[in-house]
Amino acid sequence: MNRRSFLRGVGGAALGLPLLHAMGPRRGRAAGAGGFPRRFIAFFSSQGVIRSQWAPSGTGPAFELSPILAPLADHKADLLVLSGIDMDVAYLPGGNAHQKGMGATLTGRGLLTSGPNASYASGISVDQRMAQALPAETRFRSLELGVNVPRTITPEMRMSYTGPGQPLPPEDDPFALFTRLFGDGADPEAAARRRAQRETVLAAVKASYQRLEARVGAEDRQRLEAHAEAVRQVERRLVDLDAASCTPTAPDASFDPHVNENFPRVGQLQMDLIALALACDLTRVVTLQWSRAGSAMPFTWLGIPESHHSLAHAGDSDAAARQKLVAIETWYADQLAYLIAKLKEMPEGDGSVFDNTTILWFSDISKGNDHSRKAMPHILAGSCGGALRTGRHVQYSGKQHNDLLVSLLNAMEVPDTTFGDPDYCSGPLPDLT
Amino acid sequence: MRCVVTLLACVACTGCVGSVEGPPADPGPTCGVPAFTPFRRLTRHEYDRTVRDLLGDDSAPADAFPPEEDVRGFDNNAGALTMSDRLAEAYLGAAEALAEHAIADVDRLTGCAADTMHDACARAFIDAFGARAFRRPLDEEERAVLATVYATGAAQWDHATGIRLVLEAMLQSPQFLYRIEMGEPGGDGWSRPTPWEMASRLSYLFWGSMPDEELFAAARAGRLSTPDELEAHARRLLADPRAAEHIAHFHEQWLGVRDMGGVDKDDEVYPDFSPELVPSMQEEVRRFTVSVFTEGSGTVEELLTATYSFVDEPLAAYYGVGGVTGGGFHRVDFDPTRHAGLLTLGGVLATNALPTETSPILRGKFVQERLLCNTLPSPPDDIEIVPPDPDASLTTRERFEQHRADPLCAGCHDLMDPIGFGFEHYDGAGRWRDDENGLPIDDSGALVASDVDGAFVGPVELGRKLAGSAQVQTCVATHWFEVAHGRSATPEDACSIDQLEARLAETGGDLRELLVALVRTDAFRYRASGGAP
Repeated sequence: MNRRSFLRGVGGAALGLPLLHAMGPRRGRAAGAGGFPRRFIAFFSSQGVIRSQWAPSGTGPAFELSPILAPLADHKADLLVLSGIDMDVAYLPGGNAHQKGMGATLTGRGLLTSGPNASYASGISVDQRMAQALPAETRFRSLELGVNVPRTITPEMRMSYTGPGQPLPPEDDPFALFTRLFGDGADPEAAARRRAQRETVLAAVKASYQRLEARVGAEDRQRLEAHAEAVRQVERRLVDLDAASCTPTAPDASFDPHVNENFPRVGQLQMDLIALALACDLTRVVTLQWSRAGSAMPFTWLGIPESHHSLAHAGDSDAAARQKLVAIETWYADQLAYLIAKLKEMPEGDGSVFDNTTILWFSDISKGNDHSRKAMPHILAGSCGGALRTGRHVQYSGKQHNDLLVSLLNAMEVPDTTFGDPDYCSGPLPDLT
Repeated sequence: MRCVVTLLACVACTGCVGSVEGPPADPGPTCGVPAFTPFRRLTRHEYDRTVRDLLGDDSAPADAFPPEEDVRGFDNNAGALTMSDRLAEAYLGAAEALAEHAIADVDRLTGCAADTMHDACARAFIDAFGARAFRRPLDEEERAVLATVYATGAAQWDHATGIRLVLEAMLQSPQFLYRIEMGEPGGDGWSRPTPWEMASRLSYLFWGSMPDEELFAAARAGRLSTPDELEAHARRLLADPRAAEHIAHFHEQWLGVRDMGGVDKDDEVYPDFSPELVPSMQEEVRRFTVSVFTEGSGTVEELLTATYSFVDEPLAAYYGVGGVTGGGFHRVDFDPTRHAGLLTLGGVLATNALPTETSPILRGKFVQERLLCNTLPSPPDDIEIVPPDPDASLTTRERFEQHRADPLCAGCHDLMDPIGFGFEHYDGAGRWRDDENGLPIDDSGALVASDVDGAFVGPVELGRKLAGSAQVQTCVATHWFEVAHGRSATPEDACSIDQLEARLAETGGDLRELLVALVRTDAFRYRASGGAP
């Protein structure tokens, strides 16, 4: 298998990928069209949308894209625009509106109301449920990525959870991410030596945790066990590294990923890496969090100096502010279009990785100035191996966000019938498949 | 099985070295049993300092670790810290990098003479270095585990590799990454930290790092149990330069300037501001607050009323302060009618503002939450929240006054805005301004929900009011208590906190005496026996 397909990889650099479709379909339950694995990407941007500029006209297959969604025109047939889904679970008590929205989006649960983890979500998120339930065939059970996520951590910064009050930190440094995904280019002999040495060290480390766990109280034991489990996952990941399958060129670490002006460049690099990670089957579950809920960043590259949060709180009659918000939201649609295009570039079977993927574009609230969590702006892109019937605008009434999460689990072949707070879930959404 | 019941079990337990024949029976806590704290994982700040003291390595690898969950501004609430695969990977990467660097001179690391047999050298290294890494002597099983790591490394590769792998294992073990406390027998529901554990409590409280040789020696001798012994060490540690760094860390967190990455200012509105100023502003906060402790009175009053600060050349130019040339930071005096200690530090005011304007809300919130420890409720869920329209013919204050007229909003905003108005002579980028776009500024304000409510004009008067507030004293004492113990204060801690407040009152608000008093409290000298196994 010596032929390589030269594609645009990270930051536009040419990279060599083996022809994955020539390797044949993979084993495993989550098999899409042609037996390839299905993938899920959660794509978050904050503070909702200007509804009148977001909502498509027409429903069903004959719908017209709105101004905000115009950048997705090339991919219209791959979209499922979902209107009218409420996220009522995010009205339960426990924090401010952004925290409630952010906490509920992937967990379908309310927030913890007491303890040191108060205002964090009270349950596991859908991406982690997938990571748990899918066969452990990939090096990473999941990847949590971000773009310039602030480093003072409050619940607005976290959307992915392994359990109640157990958030996962997104990786927002694409250069560090590259090394985690593809290694540092060590030659096979050095890599093998390092692998053997790590096995020795980590065996001793695991033994230390085990020994201590047996001698402590329940709460400390839980924490030590969580740590030991993380060590086991890392060991699996590092020791099982098959360096030969994917060897893209590392991007030039030439700019600071935490400077506001670099937000677009970081976002694109992260999306390049997502496409590579999925194509190389390093993972099948990814979350990408742009900034944070209630983001205060200014979109200076769009000529907008005010903080996003300030703009989002403009009154409904403030035309100038609304115009800027539409520009921001359209820019995010453009980023989604970039990600879709990148995934379509990655060949798989007779089509592309995108054919076996679905991306959910979502937000913590639906409307900035009143923090509404009704009629959330949901977009799905990609049929997830044919599980979803795309190319439509579906208008729902009286349906809950949790049901969408169940549908996503089912699309990834996790047969759960409920997810998150059961009081807010009645099963998968109708009319998606 | 914890070290609780019999002497035999105690001797076998690592935490009990040196405590078999102790001083006369300790009556235990008179204040009530302190609340349970889970094992305290080292924060990034503590990890970096610990490896610097352990290995002489100041590469600060923990700066790249995922950040800790923030509780009331602080990074070390033990119950809030979560684990992730990413963090475990980061620990591995850091351990490998630190070990690789350390074995560049393996003989220096192990301290073995050139003619020592490698096996004996490894054994001695595991014992001596291990006791420093784990902050207490190792037990037989711990030695055996590490000896196996060495043996494998040395056999398959070489002596240096064996040592390196031992070091990597130590740096990822729970005995290094967590401050494990098993305690020694006490009484009903309570136990005492062992002398080794007490040594760590002292060093992490004052230095954010591992104990030094003197503390280890005291632990080895079974000391560190009486309040006077603890106080003597506390004063010694406080006088050490390492304490200054840790005090700076407390203040940069308390004042919310530790991470100013999200502080962006509009070029057109604030053309003189640049992101390059941010590190200088952060350093100004650190130097000013430390100076109050090391050169000044160490009081809350001075923190709130000082008319001096520390600036480098860029900051001096930005603030318009003359006479500062050359590198480094210099102490400068400001206009005493305008400057009020931490209330008017550029970093604090720029953080509590927006990219294009000031924010009376954020500044009022800062005073309420950080200085008065009042918890403000979240905005209501179901109303439209619209800030005042931009209007160049009105000042910020005037725009907000109109907004506050709405009774639905006023309830909460009356807690914040009137305080925030008092800062209006400081613009959104942390600098004094004489007017707002040519309009005169009214910086009269009103303090509410405090024990010193009332009107004031400008930050200097606000600073004086807050300096006289018992609520502020309690708030600061509580923050230090929470940082000391890695948890929120509970009703069981009321008595310990009362002791701290009393000490503050009798010393005229001297925070240095507060820090020393911390080690005499029941909360510090005792611990809950922990949950059921």
